[in-house]
Amino acid sequence: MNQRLDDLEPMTCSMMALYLSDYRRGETLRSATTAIEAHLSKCARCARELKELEEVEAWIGRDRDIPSGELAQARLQLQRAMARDDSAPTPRTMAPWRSILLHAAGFLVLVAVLAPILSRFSTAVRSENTQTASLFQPWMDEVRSVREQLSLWIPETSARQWLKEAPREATRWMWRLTPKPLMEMQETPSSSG
Amino acid sequence: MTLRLMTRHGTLPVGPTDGDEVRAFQSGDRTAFDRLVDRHQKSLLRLSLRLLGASEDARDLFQDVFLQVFRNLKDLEHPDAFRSWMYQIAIRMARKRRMRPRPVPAAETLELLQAPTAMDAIERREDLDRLRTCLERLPGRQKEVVLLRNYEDLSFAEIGRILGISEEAARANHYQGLRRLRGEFHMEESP
Repeated sequence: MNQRLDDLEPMTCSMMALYLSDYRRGETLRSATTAIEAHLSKCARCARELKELEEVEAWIGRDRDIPSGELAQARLQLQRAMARDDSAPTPRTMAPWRSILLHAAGFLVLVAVLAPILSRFSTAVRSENTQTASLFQPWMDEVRSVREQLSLWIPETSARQWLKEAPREATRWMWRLTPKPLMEMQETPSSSG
Repeated sequence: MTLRLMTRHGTLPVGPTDGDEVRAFQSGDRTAFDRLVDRHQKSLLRLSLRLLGASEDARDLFQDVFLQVFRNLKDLEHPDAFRSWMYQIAIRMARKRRMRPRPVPAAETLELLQAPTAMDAIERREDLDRLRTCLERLPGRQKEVVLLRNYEDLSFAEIGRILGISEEAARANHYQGLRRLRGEFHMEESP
């Protein structure tokens, strides 16, 4: 605490002001006390300052009492508040196995509620798919005629399967159309080096 | 029997420290909290009274601080810093309360300030009344430092930790606070 005070040689009046309270209470190190007393013997202004601060601190010192009965009242009020606090419901921590069981039960309830709704939804989607397939039928006929004309391979599938498998079939189709030299270049990475 | 250690400021009990009591509470001994209240109730009530003035407000603050302490004591990471932590809570709560609109002083507070019989007691009461008025006029930070230093005998390092300022700033605020108090007191003396 007084290390900084020890470092400050010679002591200035502004530094003295900050350490007068410590000095008055005997909380300064011996070396700091010596330095402060040396300064006080030379500086009348700091000596006067110390005396005035002593008066103020003594004045405050007389005001440390608590009015009689005040403490007992405060303690009683605290006890009542704590009793209210104790009787209030507190959130209880749940055991891990109970939490797992609760989550599982919740999941089962969710499945039981959602299963009938999902099955109805799936029936509705299936009938919608049939309608969609009939919409695509003319287009499929057109594709079939083009295939016959060009003698190219186009998968012979129903409209519904075509919709499902289109991406895979398209990839396979593109693979067949790719020129062979290019395929070889892609398959054999450069072995040089 | 409790052993007591003689110090410059009086006697101090040599026994379980605040840190020991906090650790006891954290390991399930609820009576440790009561012992902590017994130990600190007087200083906390005094600080509350000086910070807020009205005794009803001070009692509310006293209650709120200890309730807060009770609820959070099991999570206190540094049990040995209990006193600083408690004062921190008190100062923070008092600041919040001071920001609220101020009620008219309670009748009981006025009662406390009235009519002692002996003449010296009246003079003493007037003197203290004047001191409290002067304290009330101090800027918030200076008032807090003066209260913690002169009423609670805390070191500037501890005051700095409680108020979140440096030790040097605590010293400077204390010095300025005392100077201002002295000035106010002289002004009150010579109207």
